[in-house]
Parts: sequence; C-alpha cells; structure tokens
Amino acid sequence: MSQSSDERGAELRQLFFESAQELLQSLNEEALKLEKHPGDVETVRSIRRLVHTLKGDAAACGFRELSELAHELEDALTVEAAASHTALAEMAFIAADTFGSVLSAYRNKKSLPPAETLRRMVRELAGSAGSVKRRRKATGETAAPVIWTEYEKLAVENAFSQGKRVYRITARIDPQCLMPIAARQLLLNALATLGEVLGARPETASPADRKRLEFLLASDASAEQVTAKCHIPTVIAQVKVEAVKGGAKSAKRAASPPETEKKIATQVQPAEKEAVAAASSTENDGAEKGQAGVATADNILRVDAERIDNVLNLVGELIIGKSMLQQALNEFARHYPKEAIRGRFADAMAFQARVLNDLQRSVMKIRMVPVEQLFRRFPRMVRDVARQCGKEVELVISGQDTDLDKSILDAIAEPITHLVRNAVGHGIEDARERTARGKAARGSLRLNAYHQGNQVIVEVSDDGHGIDAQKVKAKALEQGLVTPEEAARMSEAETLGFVFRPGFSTAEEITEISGRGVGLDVVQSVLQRLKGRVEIDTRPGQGTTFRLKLPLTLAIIKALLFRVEQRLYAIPLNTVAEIARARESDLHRVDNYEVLQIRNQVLPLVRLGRAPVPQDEHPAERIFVLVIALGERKLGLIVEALEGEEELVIKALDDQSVSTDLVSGASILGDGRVVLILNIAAISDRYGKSRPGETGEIASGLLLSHGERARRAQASTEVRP
Amino acid sequence: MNRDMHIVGFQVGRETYGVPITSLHEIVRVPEITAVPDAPEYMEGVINLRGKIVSVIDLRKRFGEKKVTPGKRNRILVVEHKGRLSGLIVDSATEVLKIPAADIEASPTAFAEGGLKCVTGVGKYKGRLIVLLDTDRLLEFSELKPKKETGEGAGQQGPAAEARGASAGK
Repeated sequence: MSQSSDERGAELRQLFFESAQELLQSLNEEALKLEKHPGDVETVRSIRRLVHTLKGDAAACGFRELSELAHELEDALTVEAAASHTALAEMAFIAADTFGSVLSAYRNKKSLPPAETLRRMVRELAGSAGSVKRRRKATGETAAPVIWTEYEKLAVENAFSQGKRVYRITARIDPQCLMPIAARQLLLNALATLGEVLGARPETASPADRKRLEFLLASDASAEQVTAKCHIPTVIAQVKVEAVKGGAKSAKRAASPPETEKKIATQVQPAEKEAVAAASSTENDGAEKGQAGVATADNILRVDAERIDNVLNLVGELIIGKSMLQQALNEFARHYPKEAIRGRFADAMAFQARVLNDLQRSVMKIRMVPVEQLFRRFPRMVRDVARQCGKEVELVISGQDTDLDKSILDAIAEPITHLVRNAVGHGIEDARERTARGKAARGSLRLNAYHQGNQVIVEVSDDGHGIDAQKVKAKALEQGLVTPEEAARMSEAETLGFVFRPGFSTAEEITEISGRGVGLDVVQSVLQRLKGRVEIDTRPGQGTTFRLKLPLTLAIIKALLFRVEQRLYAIPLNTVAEIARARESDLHRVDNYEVLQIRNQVLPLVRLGRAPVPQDEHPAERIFVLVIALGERKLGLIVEALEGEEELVIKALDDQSVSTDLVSGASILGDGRVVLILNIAAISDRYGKSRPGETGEIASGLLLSHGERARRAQASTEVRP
Repeated sequence: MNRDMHIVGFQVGRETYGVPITSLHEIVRVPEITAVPDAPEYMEGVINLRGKIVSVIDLRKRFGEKKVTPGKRNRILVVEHKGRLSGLIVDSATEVLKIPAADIEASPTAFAEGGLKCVTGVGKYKGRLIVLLDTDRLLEFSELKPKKETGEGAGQQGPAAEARGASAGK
C-alpha cells in the first residue's frame, strides 16, 4: 500500500487528509471537553477512539510514522491513566498539533517534524499509569471482548507443557479491504504455516462485520517472525503479537479472561467495573460509529464550487430562455386569439416556471453551509490565546446552525479570527482587574449567528472593558486623521469607525485603548468586498460587540429596480431604509447640494440623472427618493420611477473596459434586459468628493457616461449666455 | 504560401475592414444595450448575450465617425479577448472574403508611426482595399484609461481616417 503511487492511492490519501482534518478538529474539541471535566472517562474514550481511527487510516494509507505515533498515544491513553494524569488534556492538544504538522508534512511531501514533545508526554503517561493498572488494562481491555473456551484454554496449557511459545495475535483488517472473510482465511493460513492455531475469534468465517481478529497460536517461531508473517499488505492493516508468558498459571490468566475479570471485580470499585464493561462495549460502539461515519461519508460529495457555479449559470440561462418562450407565446396569442392550443402552452409554461424556480433554489442551497464549520475552530484558539495572555475566557457559541454561502463563510474566517483574538487579547481584562471591577473573574466571549431578513449577522462579543470613543478620537486627532472641527462634530459611531483604519493602532495604544485596531482593517476590507457591513457596539466597562452583517449569498440578491434617465438600475434592497415621494419643489439647495427634509431630518440628496434645466422646470413633477442607510449616515437617491423588487442573479462585471466603481455587478432580467447593480458605497464616496463649486451647478449626473456629460456641459454653456 | 485568408468583411463608415474569421466568436444583431455610467464615449454599454454579459464598443465612434446612426443592418461582432467576450458594433457585416495571402500587404509604416498597432495589413479584394485588423490589439487599445474629457483630442482619430490617407497616398 505504501508503495502504491497509482491514482487510487492518491485519491485515498486525499480522502485521508480530509477525514484526518476532521478527526483533528474533533480531537481538539474533545480535549477542550476534557480540560473542562478532567478525568471524564467518556471523553478519554472518545479521544482514544479518534486516535485509533487516525492510526488505522494512516496505516491504510501507508503513513507509517503517523500511525506509529498514534499507536503509542492510543496505548498510553487508558481510562485509568486518564484518571491519574491531569495533564491529559494538554497532551491531547499537543497531540492534535503534532498530528496536524505531521499531516501537513505528508501533504506537502516535506520531511516530518519532530514529535518529541508528544512522545515524551506519552512516555510519562504510560509510566504514571502504574504497572498494576497496566496489567489490568491489558487483560481487561483486550481480552474482555474475547472469551476463550475451556477447550482452548486447555490447548494453551498443553502447548506450554510441550515447551512451545504461545502468542496472542490481534489483527485488524484493513478498512479498505472488501472481503473481510477472505482476509481472515488468509491470515489463518499464514499462521498455520508457523504452528498450530489454538483458537480464533471470530470463530468461524461468519459474515461478521468485525474487522478485528484474534488468534491463539502455538509455535516455535519468534514474535518477529509471527508479526512478519501476519503482515499482509492491503488486507491486514495492523497486527499486534503478544507472547503469552510461559507457566501454566499466567497462561491460564491470559487465556481465561472471565476469571481475571472476576478477580478485578473484587478489587475495583463498582464504578470502575462499570467502566471496564463500558470499555468493551465502546469497542463495538466505535465500530458502529465508524460504520455510520462511512455511511454518511458515502452520501457526501465533495464538489468543486466551480461546478456548482456552472450549474447556477446554466439555470440562469434557462430562466432567460423561459422568458423568451413566454414572449413568443404572448405574440402567438395575439396573432391567434382563438387558437385552443394556447391554454396548453400556458399550462406547460407555468409548470416549467415552477420547476425552474425549484431548480434555482436547490442549486443555491447546495452552496449553503452551516456557520458551525467556521465556529468550531474557535474553542481551541480562544483557549490558546487566553492561556498566552494569562486570562480565563469562556467561549459561548450559539446559532451555529445558521446557513451561509460557502464563499462568504470562507471569506469571513480571517476577519472573525482577528476579532476573536482581539477580544481575548485586548478586550477582556485579566482576572485580577475583572474582580476589582466587580465582574466575574472568568471573561466571556460570545460567538453568535442568526438570520435577519436576507442578511446573516455574525456577532463577536466580549464582556471586557469596551472601547473608549474619546481616546479613539484623541488618537485620530494626534495622527492627523481629522481636524479638531471635524472631530467635534463626529458621532460616536463615526469615531469608532477609526479603529478600522489600517495602521491606526500603535503599540502605545495597546495599553491605552485595549489595542483594538490590530488587523481590524482586514475586517473592514473583507466586509466591503462582500457587500456587508460591520458595526461596533461598545459600552465602557461592559464589553464590545462586533456585528458583521453579511448578505445571505453572493450570487443572488434581492434588489430594488428603478429608472434614472429612462435606464434601469438596481440597488440591494437591504441598503434601502425607506422610499419617500417628493416634488421637485420640495427639494432645497444648500450650497451645491440638494437636500430634502423628512420628518425633521435633513437628508442630503444625490441626483443620479441630470438635473432639470432651470427654464423648463416642472416644480410639481413627482420624484422618488430612495433613502439609503450607510452605517450612521443617510443619503437620498433621486430616481424617476420605481420598477419593483426582484431577485437578481449577480454576474460579475469585471471587464476591464467597463471598469467603474459605481457598478458592482450586473444581472439579466427575466425578459433578457441587462440591469446594472449600483455600488452604494462608491456613490456615497463620489458624493462626498464631488465639489462642483465654481459653476454654481448642483451635483448631478452621476450615472451618465463621459460622452453624455460632455454634451451636457456643452448644452449648459450654450444655454447660458 | 498560396493559402487563402478567410476574412470577415465589415463596414464602418465608408470603409471596409476585415478580421480573420478565426478571431470572431459570432456576429449578432444589435440588441438592447444597457449604458454603463462613467464609460468612455465609444463604450456603448453591456448586452446580454444568451446569459452572458458582454461589453460593447461602438467601433464607429472608436474610429472617429462623426455621425453615427443606428440602422437595421448594424451588427455586433463578438470577439474573444483575454478569455472574455467583447462586442464591436459595426455598420454592417455581410461577407466572408477569401483573400489569397499574396494579395495581402503588410501594414504601411505610416500606420505604425501613427500609433495604429491594430492594423495588421491591407488586403486587395476585387479592386477594393480592405484594412485588416487585429481584434486583440484593437481591444487593448480600447482599454486605455477613458479620457476624462472626450472630444477633439488627436488620439481620437480613428484608423479609418488614417487608412484613407494612407491609401490615397499610394
């Protein structure tokens, strides 16, 4: 197997890497659990199970070093050891890290990293679990599921009296092996060449799905010879040969577990007896679980996201095809209004439309994954960072079932990591400070996710000391980011926005305002790219919440369609706070900007089209104003007509020749028209920058092309004498 | 070297231009065009080409035609450039010309001096002169930063005018 460089081997290894990552993730989770409840027998067992699975899988793929490492760990990880060894959780973490680095070394075909720390800990653990316990473990655990009959025990005694060595051989059939029965026979035949097989479990070649075989062998051969003989590549994953020590008494003990167990039962506490019994049952559980795992793994396809996107594109084209058909049908109906076949066409169309709708929704669903995939990384990270800082932090996770587009999930992994690190590192105070302020010594960090409308909200909140807006302001002034006048007018939210500026945080600040700002510009830029937003909610002394507002998916948005200059545009519906109707005469001018008064608030306006020429102004003309909420700021867009809302499949407009930041994408409507999706952030940006001062004209015409603007400029100079 | 070149001939203004048939993706009628804000004058906008969004350049404006009138015979040549499709609006595109390689002359040096790298040669076909274009270079040319002010700049002089000048000079 280890030499197989064929395609299947590569595929198998790929599968192994993926499943091993999952295993390590689970290992981390179990380790965290163990840290919380030290000595919890069930947790130790599941850790063992994980290590065991890893060992088996690694061996099957020919990763001998990893398999051996896992094997050592598995051996040392006994229930008894766990009870007596407090640093087990630590060891599990180190094991997870070590396995992780070994895995990546395999993956990148690099030399293996040293695993000395882990090995040393394993040795310590093995040593600390006393010899008595070890023996008990040996009999209790490996022999418990296998009960040798009287006859077999007799045979063992006979073999000893004949001066033969007796081995107990435990073999595990390769999980990839498709014929376990044949495998058993193969092994049996191999052993028969060495000596006499005294007993075998499972006894017959029953259709047992047990992958574990045990044999008693009486032979003259050495243990190494037996091991070598048993090693049948691709069939037997792993072999353990134990010599049953000479002497009738010990042979009897080794070969007659029922008695031993009785003896143990008298020695140990009832609880531990239960544990031993459970140990034997977990073996089976593990096997079953493994089976279940295989079953689900079979049902899960790992598909390149690009393929799904292709399907989505095709669905989009189908929808356009549908509307073409619809139009043709309408025309047909006009020409032949009496034709009876029209009804059948209409039925077929309706049916097709419904199926198409379902199809589109299904494809969208494929891309959705629960946010848990991301959240599950954090318990370990929080623990590590908290430990580094010498703090106690409890991580509370909720809403992990919330579904999110895979590409968004991948994109927010880094921002959230920054936020979590910041919260633990700087947001939450150390225990002494916390108690001094009358808070629980243990800090709390919350990760939460939920749907809100067609957005997904991901929150990272801590109960630390919050961000002091005044200090942020002072810092911004000091760095020359704002003038004193501007600073005086800034709202708190605007002030807090500075923490997202790249390089805003300095070393000195880390002590001053808890150092937030490290890597926060990453958060901001990623969120902008995703057309999402980040909000800060902070209360001095009580904590900070970072709220990431994300679109449900990047591929589809709910959009509001409207017309400017007879042309159709769209903006994401979630950016629209309200729609107001107004007359041209309601608009006021402040400098060169137009404003509208809505409920005692003055709303700055952006005229997307061209301004009405003063001469033929119609003061009564009705217009619509889309009120856009951009964080704290509000902005009104003047549009001519509304076209309604629609779900748009976004297509990128990354063509070089139409590069403008005003448009974030385009979409094709049902009737085949192309609609441009405007980038609200860029429009607001332009608005802020536009200084049409000298001409005395109001800011307008944002959506015109250069040619149109030139013509307009010409027209206005002609009009003005 | 007596192979025929298959050239798709199209008209912009009074001139006939040609591009190798292999460089064309397809030729379509002009559908509804969605204008793009901020776009340079010759950038007409984007169209929906069977579910794909394709940007469209008006070659007539690009070549400095003064009067551009939409007509029924107008067509869009869809070409592939750097892995994506672009459209070029022309007055009409009707014929596929077979021009023997021998009848194609390299582009006059005057073109190159004028910065006109998109002209690859001039073909003679039944007494007519056909300006052969390289669509890739044509589009690269179009990707230059849109000028803030469109208008009378010398850079807007199209190859048509220069080609005319060059052929007259012959």
